[in-house]
Amino acid sequence: MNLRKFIVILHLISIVVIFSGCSKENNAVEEKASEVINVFSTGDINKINEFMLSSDKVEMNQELAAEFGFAGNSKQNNGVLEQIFKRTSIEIEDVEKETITYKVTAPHMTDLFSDIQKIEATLRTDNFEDYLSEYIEEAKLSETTVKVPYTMEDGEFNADYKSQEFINSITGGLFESYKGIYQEMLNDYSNGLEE
Amino acid sequence: MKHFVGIVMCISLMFTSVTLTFAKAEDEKQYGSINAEFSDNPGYNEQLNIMIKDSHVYVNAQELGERLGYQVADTNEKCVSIYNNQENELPYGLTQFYYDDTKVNHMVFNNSMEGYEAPFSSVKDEKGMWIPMEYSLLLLNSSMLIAEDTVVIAIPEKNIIDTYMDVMRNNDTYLFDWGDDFGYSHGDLQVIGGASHIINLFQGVLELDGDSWKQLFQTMAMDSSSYDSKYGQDIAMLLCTTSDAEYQAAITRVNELQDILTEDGKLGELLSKIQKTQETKIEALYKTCETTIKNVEKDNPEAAIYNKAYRQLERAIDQQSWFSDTGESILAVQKGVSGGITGLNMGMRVAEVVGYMSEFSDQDKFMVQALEQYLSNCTTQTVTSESMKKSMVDYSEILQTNIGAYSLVRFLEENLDGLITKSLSIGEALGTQANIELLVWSLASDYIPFLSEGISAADKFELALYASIFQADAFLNYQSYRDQVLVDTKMPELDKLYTLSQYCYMYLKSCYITRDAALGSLKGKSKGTEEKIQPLIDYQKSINDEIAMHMVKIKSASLDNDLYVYGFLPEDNTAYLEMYDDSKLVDLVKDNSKDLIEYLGAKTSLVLEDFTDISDNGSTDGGWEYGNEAISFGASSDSIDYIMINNEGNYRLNELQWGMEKDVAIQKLLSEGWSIEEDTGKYYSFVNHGNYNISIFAEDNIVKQIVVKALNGGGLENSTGDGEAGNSTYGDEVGNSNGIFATSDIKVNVTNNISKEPYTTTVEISLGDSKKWSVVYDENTDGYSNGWSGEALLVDLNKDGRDEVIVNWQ
Repeated sequence: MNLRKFIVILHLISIVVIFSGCSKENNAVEEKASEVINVFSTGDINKINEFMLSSDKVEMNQELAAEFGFAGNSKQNNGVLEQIFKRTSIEIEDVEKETITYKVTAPHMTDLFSDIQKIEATLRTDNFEDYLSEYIEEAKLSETTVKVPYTMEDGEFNADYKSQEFINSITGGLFESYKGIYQEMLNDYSNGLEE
Repeated sequence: MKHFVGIVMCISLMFTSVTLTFAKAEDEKQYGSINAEFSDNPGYNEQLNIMIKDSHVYVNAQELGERLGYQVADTNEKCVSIYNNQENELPYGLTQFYYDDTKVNHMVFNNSMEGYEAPFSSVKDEKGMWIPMEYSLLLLNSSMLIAEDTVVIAIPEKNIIDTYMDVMRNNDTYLFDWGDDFGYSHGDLQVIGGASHIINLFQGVLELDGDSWKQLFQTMAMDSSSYDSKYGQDIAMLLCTTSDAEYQAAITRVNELQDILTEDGKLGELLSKIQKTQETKIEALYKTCETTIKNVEKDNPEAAIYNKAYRQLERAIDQQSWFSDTGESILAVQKGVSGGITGLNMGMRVAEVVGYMSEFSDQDKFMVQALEQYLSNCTTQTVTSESMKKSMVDYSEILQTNIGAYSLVRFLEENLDGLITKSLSIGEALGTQANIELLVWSLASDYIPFLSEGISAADKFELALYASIFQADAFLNYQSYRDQVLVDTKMPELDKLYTLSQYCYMYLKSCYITRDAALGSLKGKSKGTEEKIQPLIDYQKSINDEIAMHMVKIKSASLDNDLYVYGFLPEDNTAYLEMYDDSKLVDLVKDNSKDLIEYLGAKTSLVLEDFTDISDNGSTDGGWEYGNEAISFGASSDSIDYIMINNEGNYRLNELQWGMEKDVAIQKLLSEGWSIEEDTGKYYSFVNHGNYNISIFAEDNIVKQIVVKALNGGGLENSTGDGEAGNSTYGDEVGNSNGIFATSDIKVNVTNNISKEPYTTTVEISLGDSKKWSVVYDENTDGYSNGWSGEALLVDLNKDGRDEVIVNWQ
C-alpha cells in the first residue's frame, strides 16, 4: 500500500466517523425533539402540562398522597386549552445546530376575542364555556412553523417550549389574540386613571 | 440579635443538667420523660416522653410531631409519617422514619431526596412510635438545646426551600395581573370595559387547564415592544432597595427571635441569673461569650453542633465580627449610657443593633448581586425589551457602587447611639420612629427621585406596566431554573440553590414592585371611589406583606448553607452520621435522672392508680373537685387499689380502695405512719408530717369517698363545710399539688362546675391507642389573674410496663 492510498483510506475513515458521530447526535436530538410530539399526540392535558410546565408537579409517597392533598395539578376538566390541544398535532420539519423547526397544526383561534367582542352582550359566565367549546370544535385547522432553540450538552437536552412563539403556535394563535385584548383592557384602565 | 440569642442559649448550656424520670419496662428499653420548653410557649414546662435503647435517645413521634404542629400517622405499620399539608407557619412537607431501619424519606421541595439516613433505627412498640430525638428535630426544621433541667425546643421554621414551595403554591396570588387583581369585579375603578369582562371570563375557563397556564398567559400578556428604557433604571433601583414591607418583615423576624428571651421563659430565667453576675461593661459580655463557646465545645459537642443558635455564636466569635467590627461605636455609646441601664441591657441593645446591621447589610448585598446575576444569566426568552434591559444592566453597575446611600445599614449607623440608649427595645424603636420612614420607598425621594412627592397616578401606572413586563421575565426565568435545579431526587449543589434563591427573589420583588406601583396608580380618585376600593387596596397590600416575609427569608441565602438556611440537607446528613456520637447525651441523661420516688417527693405528689371504672365508662361527673390544697376524687363508682403519697418522707399507701371496709382502710393508713386526727364514726381524718391530709367518708362501714389534701403552705382555708372541696384561695402561698392517675387505657373527662367557686376546672385525658394527652386547665372565668393550669405526662410509675398519667397542678 503506497502512502497516497493510505491517506485516502484514512480520509474515508475519518469522514465515516465524523458523519457517524453527527448522525448519532442528530438522532439523539430528534429523539428528544419528538417527545413534545408524542405528548401532544395523546391529547392528555395532564401529560401535556407535566411536559410543558412541570411547575406544579408534586411527587410524594403514594400511600399518603391523597391524604396529604398532594394530588398535583389534577383539576383539569375540559378546559379551553385541553380542547384545543386535542386538535393540535406537531411534526418535526427540520433539526439544525441550535434550533428545531416544528410544523404545528392547530384550530385557528386568532380571531377568538374579536369574535367574542361582537357578541359580548349575550355572553354570561354560564354559557361562556359552551361558546368556547363550540368555537374550538368548529374552527378550521391552520398550519404554522415555529423554531425552538435548544441545547444538547453531555447528552442533556434542553429546549424552551414556553416561548411565546411556541405557545402561540400550539394554541392556534390564541395567545396573540389574548395579548391583543389584554392591551385593550390596559388602555381602558389607563383612560380611566384620572377622574 | 440572632447572635445574642445564640449567646444566651449557649450560656445556658453552662448550667446544664437534665432531670429525667425513668422506669424500666423492658430489659433493653428505658422509658422516661423530660422537661421541655417549646419556643412558642416560653415559661411553660411541658413533658416529652423519651426512651433509651441501645444507648440511643428516642422521642415519642406522635407526641413530638403533634406538639410541633405536624400531623402524624403510622403508615402501613412500616414507618411513622410526620407531615404538614396545611397552609400555615409550618414547612409544607413529609418526613418518614422506618421502623427497625435507619431508612428515612424526607421531602425537599416536591421530592423525597436521596441521601437521608437516620443514625439509628426507629422503633414501634406498645408504647408508641419512637424516633431519634435530635436527628428528627433537625429534619423537622427544629433544633434543641439543654438549659438546666429543661430541653428548649424551637418550633419549626420554614427554610428557603420551603419558601420555594410556598411561592409555587401561591404563584397565582403573588403574580400581579391587571385583570385578576384590578379586574371589574373589584368595584368601580372605571375600568369596567368589555375587554376586562372578557378577560375575566376567559381566565376563569383557563383555570380549568391548570393554574400554570393561567400564570403563563398572565405573565406574557404584556406587549413590551412599545416600551423603552424609560423606567429601567427606576425598576433596577427598586429591586435593589429595601421596601417598606420588607423592612417591617425584617423587624418582625428579629422580634420573633427576641421573644425567646421573654422573662417567663427558661432562657429569660437564665438571663436574669447572668445579669446578677454581669459587670456593667460590654467587654465582660464579650469575655463571657468566649468562655461560653469554649465550654460548649468542651462539654456539649453533639448537642450544640447542629443547633442554629450555637452556629450563630460560633460564627460571630470566629469571625470576630461581633464586637470588633463595631468596637469604636460601642465604646462611644457606652460613655453616653445612663447609669440606669445595666451592662446586660446595654449589651442586649448593642447585640440587637449589630444583629440588625449584619442582617440588613447582607440583604443589601444580596439584592444587588441578585439583580446582576439575573441580568447577566437570564436565559429565558425575554419579554422585557432589550433597550429596557440594557438600561437596567448599565444602572446596576452604578448601584453596586453607591447602594450604601440608600441602605438600612446607613440608617442604623447614623442612629446607633440613639437606638442603644433609648428605653424602647430596638425593634420597637425602629418600628415606631418617624425617621424610619427615611428608609421606605414612599419617602426615599432624596435618593430615589422618581418616587418624590407629586408623582402622578399615571406615572405610577406606567411604572407598573413596565414592572409587569419585568415580572413576566422574572417569573419565567425563576420557574425555568427551578425546574432545572429541583428536577429529581438528587439534591442540587449549593451554588445552584443560591442562584435559585436570587432568581426567586427577583421574581418576588418584581411582583411586589408591580403591585405597589399599581396601587399607587389608584391615588387621586374621588373620595367615594377611594372608599369603594379600600378593601381592594388592603387586600393587595396584604399580599405584598406576605411576599415581603418570603423575601426577607430568601435574602439569608448563602453559598455554604450556613445556619441551615436551606434546611438539613443530605450532605449535612452525611456529616452528621460521620461525627454522630450520642454517648455523651445518653450519659448526661442517665447521670441526671432521678429516682422516681425522689422525683415525686420533690414534686409533692399523690398517686392514684387503676381507675378501672373511669376507663370503662369514659368519664366521671362531678367527682373531681379541687382547691389549691385539696384534690379529691369522689365518684363512688371508682376504685383505687393504690395510693402513694410522697412528700419528703416518701410515704406509700397501698391498696386503699373505695368500696373496701373502712377498718381495713384505717388500719392501712395507720400502718403506713399516718396519724388519725378526727374520728366521727363516718368521717376519718389522717395527717402525716403536717403535709397531707387524707379523709375517708364511710357509710355502712364501707369507704365511699377518699379525699386527699396537700396541707403544705397554709393548710385548708375557708372550708365550705359542705363536703366538697376546700374553698381555695388560689395563690402563691400554697405549694403545687400533683396527682398521678394510672391506667393502661384511660379516658377521663371531668368537668367541675362548683357554682360557689370561681374556678371552673376542666380535665380531659384521652389515652387510647392513638392519643395520649390531656388538657388540664382552669377556664378562669372569674377573671382572676394567675390563671390556673396544669400539665400531664406519662410515666411508667410502677415499672410494670404501663403508663401512668401524672398531672401536675401549677
